Amino acid sequence: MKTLMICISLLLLALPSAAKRTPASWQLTDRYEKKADTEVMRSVIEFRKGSAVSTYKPEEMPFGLVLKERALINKQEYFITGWAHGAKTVMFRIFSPETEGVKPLCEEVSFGEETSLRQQDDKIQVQIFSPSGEEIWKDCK
Amino acid sequence: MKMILLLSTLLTFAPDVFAKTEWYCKPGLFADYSRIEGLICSEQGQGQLYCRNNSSDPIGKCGSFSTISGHLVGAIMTNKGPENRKLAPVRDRPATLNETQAVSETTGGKSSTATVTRNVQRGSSGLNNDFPPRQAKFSRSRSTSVGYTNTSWLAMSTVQQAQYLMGKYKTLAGLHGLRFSPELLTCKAYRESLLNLGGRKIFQVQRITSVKSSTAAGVSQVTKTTARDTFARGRWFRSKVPGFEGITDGTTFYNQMAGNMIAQMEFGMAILEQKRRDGGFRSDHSVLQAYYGHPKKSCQKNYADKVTSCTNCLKSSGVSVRCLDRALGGC
Repeated sequence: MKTLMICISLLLLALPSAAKRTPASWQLTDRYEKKADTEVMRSVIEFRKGSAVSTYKPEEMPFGLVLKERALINKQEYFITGWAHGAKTVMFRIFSPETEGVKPLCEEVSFGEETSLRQQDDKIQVQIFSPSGEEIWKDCK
Repeated sequence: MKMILLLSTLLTFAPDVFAKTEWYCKPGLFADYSRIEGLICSEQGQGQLYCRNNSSDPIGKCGSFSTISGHLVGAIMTNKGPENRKLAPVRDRPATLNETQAVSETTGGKSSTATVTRNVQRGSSGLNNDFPPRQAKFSRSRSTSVGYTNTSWLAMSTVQQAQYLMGKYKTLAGLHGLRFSPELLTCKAYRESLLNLGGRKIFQVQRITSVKSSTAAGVSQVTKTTARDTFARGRWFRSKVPGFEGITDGTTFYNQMAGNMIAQMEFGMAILEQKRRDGGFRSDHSVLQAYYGHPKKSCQKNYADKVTSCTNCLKSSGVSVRCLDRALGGC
């Protein structure tokens, strides 16, 4: 009986701490790589969690990664990556490695360099700017 | 030809003979090139030389001059004009590069009476914000040499500004070994300066009183992310603009180029070249489509179409607002 009480106590103590524990998160790293068929340098990004590794290589322009931010919305991890698109624009590629792997949730071109993610109803939206500087929220998923 | 060369040599080594001649710009023309005592006045294409002996004389056309990469390389006195046969003495800094070009001109069937050729100095000195040399001295400092905030720059006509930019672009392209024509780069600058974010413009606009650190104002306004990327991936690029040569990262360059029009021009050209390399493009039109980065394909094509149309016009008929305006319109 005494042993059983100790076991139950330990279990009760362990449960809340297990619930509080943050799940392992994805780590995003990047590097430069030359395309095999050309001399073009491109950014390659890798999502890593434990032993799982997913690699994303842009096949089309833009090739240069310039921004990477992690966002947590409803316990779901997202990565906002910004790519040097045109002289006056940035392309944001949004990733959710847990659910979508290395396939971008969306690609949106913005005339502003700041951005943010938000959830609107059941949709994830990314903030972009129009040529005139107007703020726009685009559905990402 | 031998006579011309002889006269050239004589005039080059004996300039003091004409030291008392006074030179004036025809009203409406802008003084340029302080190498010559007196004034040489810019017009389209080859510059025209106007002169008079003293302030009470009428001003008359008395010759023309030619430049290479923004440097005066030759001047011709014609038989016409109030002070024919008299050349202004040259008084500028010593030449270092053996780059000479005699200007050939025939005026009404009459050949020129004299030609002067000069060795000119090339290199980074051609990239200073040096316009106009007589009215204002621009510093080599990164932060103060803002050509387009200078009242003299703003007082220039659109054509004069375009001619100045073309000269600088020619130098920049040459120094980097790029094949983009100065006409294309000038048309691109013209379009962007009239359409850029936040209403900051280069051509014929009000004085720019402040430059936000987050956005480069100028002829080649670009995003900071693009600047960073150009240095990170475009490792071929190293600035030739005085004061910028040692910068190796995009953020530093971006922040400092906000105060230097030439650096912005250079960087816009570098990004254009980077787009060409990224896409493996052969035609300028394709490069231009990739450059702007508008999300709508139709707008990118429109941008390239307009700049190309302006470029072709400048090449065929010289600098004019009519040609420059072809770069505008659409999305």
